[in-house]
Amino acid sequence: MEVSAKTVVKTYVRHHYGNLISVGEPRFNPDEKQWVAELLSDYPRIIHDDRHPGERTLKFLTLRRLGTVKVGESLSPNSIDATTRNDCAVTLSAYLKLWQERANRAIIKASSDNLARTNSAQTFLGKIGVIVSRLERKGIIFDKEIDNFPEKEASKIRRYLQLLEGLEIVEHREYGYSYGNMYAELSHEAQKPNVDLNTVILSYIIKNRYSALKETFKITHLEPVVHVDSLYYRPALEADEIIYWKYESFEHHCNMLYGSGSKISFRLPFILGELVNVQALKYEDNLYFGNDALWKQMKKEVDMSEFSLPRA
Amino acid sequence: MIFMFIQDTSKDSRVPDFDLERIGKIIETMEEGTLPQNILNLNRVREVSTARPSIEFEQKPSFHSLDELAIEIEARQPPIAWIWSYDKEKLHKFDHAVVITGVENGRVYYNDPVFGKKDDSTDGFLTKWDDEDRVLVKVKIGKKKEKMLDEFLNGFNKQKQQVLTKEGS
Repeated sequence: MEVSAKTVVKTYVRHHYGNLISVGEPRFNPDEKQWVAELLSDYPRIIHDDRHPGERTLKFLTLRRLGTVKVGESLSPNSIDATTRNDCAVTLSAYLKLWQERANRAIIKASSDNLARTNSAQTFLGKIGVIVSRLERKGIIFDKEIDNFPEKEASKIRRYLQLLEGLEIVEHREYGYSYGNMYAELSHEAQKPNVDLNTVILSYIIKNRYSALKETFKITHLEPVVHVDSLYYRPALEADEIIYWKYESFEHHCNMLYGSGSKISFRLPFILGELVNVQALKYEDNLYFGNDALWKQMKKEVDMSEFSLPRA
Repeated sequence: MIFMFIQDTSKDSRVPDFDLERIGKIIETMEEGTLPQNILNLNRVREVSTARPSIEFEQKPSFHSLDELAIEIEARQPPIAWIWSYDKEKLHKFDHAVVITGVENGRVYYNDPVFGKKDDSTDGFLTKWDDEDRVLVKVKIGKKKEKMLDEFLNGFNKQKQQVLTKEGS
């Protein structure tokens, strides 16, 4: 009986990797004179919804390119050169984390307007508010004015101005900082009812520079809010529908992820209250559920069914 | 770019003299680009594995930080990062790999295969890197340990065993 490359590879994968790993179609590489097949995983995700507490929805996330199985032209099992089971498991776990980061970014981008309205954003990005108000009133912030502050304070203000300059919200001219191209666009947006310029600018910063706030400005006060937001929206995106959770479900997921004694678990009721206040989440009949418009926007930003590293 | 960097900075270096086509073939570059993990294919090419000083490419799938870039630069091992850029007309974004050459004073300096030497604010660079899942390929220069004799012998015995098995079957 003739043995195919597909059979050899599949048999090898079945014996060496367990149920979570599967293998793609082998393709022949004429230069190396060997068959190459990609290892992948359809990783199961269990989603639950408190409207139907007894039911569990199962969704799969395809993690691509976890490794390869290569087999020589002779198809002899001795010629197999494959990614080890351990390396595959390490990659799988790393991909899951990267996929979570990707989902978080999509959630932040889509909900930046809401996040900008939280107390955490308004308080800890207060310097931006000071700069925006000054610019709104005077049209320019002179270098001399900044120099009048104590050095530490002045350098902080300059650093925020650089952040705004990178986003073209301000522009450095001869004597100081004035409006940039983006300022006009954001001012226009701020003319809508119930919107103020400071919040519009904060939203734009959160949307485009969240990592910088965290890593270079070391502003991590928004992180707990983002984590709780993601705690709900990630499974809602995986479920491909708005799901409904009781407080206890949030608590359960929060404890699972961050530990029951964690700071974020302690602050959970407060953060949920904030998210409901800014309409990032809704709350009715003891159930929390997502904002449909935000959820749709998030869905546009990220493919939750498949992950592989990008080509460049 | 990495090979050129080593040639310029190390005396008596012996680095591969590959053209772009050869490198593209080794790292299986397609029209849509190159997968980060395929850069590791270079480690298996004789000219790379016998280079002086030694060169090893390392790619771990994790969310890398700005500090890691700085550490690699400090060690004079310019890493490769995946970022997006606009095309010349600033109409479309495209993904590409750049060699990081410096991180200082709030700016990231890099060599871009399309645009040449460039720099960006760290804030702006992080956004471009984020969208590419913070892919980073580290280049370990002169760090490879020489193989001990027993490792050579183990490899030789394994090969011998494979030949005998093939002959037997």
